[in-house]
Amino acid sequence: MSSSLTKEKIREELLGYFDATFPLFDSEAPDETPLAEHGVDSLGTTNIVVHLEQQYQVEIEDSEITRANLGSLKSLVGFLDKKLNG
Amino acid sequence: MFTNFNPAEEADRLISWIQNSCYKTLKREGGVIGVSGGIDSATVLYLAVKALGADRIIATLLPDRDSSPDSAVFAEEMAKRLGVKTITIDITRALDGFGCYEARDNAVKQAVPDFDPACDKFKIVLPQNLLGEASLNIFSVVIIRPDGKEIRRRLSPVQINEIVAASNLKQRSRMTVLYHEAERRNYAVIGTSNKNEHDLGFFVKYGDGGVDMQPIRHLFKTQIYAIARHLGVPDDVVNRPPTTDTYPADATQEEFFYRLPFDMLDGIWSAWENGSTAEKIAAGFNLNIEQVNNVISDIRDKERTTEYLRLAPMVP
Repeated sequence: MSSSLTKEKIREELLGYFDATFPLFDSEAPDETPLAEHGVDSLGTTNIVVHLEQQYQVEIEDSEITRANLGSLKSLVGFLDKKLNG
Repeated sequence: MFTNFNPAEEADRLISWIQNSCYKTLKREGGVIGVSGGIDSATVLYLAVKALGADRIIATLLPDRDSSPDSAVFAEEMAKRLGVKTITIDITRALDGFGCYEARDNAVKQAVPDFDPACDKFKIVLPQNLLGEASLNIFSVVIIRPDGKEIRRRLSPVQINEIVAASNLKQRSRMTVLYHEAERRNYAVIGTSNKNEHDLGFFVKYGDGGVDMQPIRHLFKTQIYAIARHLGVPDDVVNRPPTTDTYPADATQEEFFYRLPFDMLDGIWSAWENGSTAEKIAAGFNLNIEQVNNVISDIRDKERTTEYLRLAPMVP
């Protein structure tokens, strides 16, 4: 579905998703800001995983649910880019 | 680990504190404690008996159908040894009336459609590899079939919310019963939460967090073990692995929430609180710096994301 998304487009879409989903999300904060500082807790992490799987038709293993992959907007963009574009 | 911590001195201080808090501040004539047979409630029970006397303490057992029978055995034995009166009230029917089990089991069925609450057991767990990778906290349900076979499924946000909300009815029902038993005697409800539970949000607001005093809330779990040994809490209670005693299958608190053994968690946490660097902590525990940073990040995330649990009601 979204395999032709560029990294910039992925970032834009994720920003929109975060803005709509997490009331404490600060879109002005640097992309490296830990998502926990945006109020994302374990429930929020689950929400993100479900969103990625449903929206982008990717499969995410438990072992991939790490700070390196999902800990910040920047890491999330890189992770999804890798999933979609290799 | 806690070089300046003297369990005997701390126990004496807490005994005086309980006396003063109960009689002078709260102006109550005794204390009611919910006892589970675990180390925290055992330690509070021993402290409270020394502070107020066995005849002014009620040890209350509040099992439901998911509680381990061992919990009652340990709690009864301890109360008997101390000469404390026990009251047992099974809260299963009340929880059934609230729709607790039905709501919870339906949520589990959404994740595992062939889950059969009549014969399968389940527990809720977090990833256990906190030292190995910087894995984030994401809850899974583990179904245990009658033949012992386990099935693990990640839970969706809706399913987690349903399961947590239903399960929290247990702690809130217990709080209600504890206050009933306390108020009819003009007693205080004495809580058993420790620092790990309180600071990281492993408690239910207005459930086990709904009490009149919390004598061990400032203590790390490992410090409570030291006080328990000093007070003479029986070895079989001290040596029991702490469990959630909330879901049908036994789940240790390490599996469900903490993700590390207490001695390591408390050691890293207290060193970090006292200003030690990750390098120094890593050397002390024979870990690498990344592993220490993973643990500290997990502590900080839990503290940050559970802050609302520790807030008093908001007022304008």
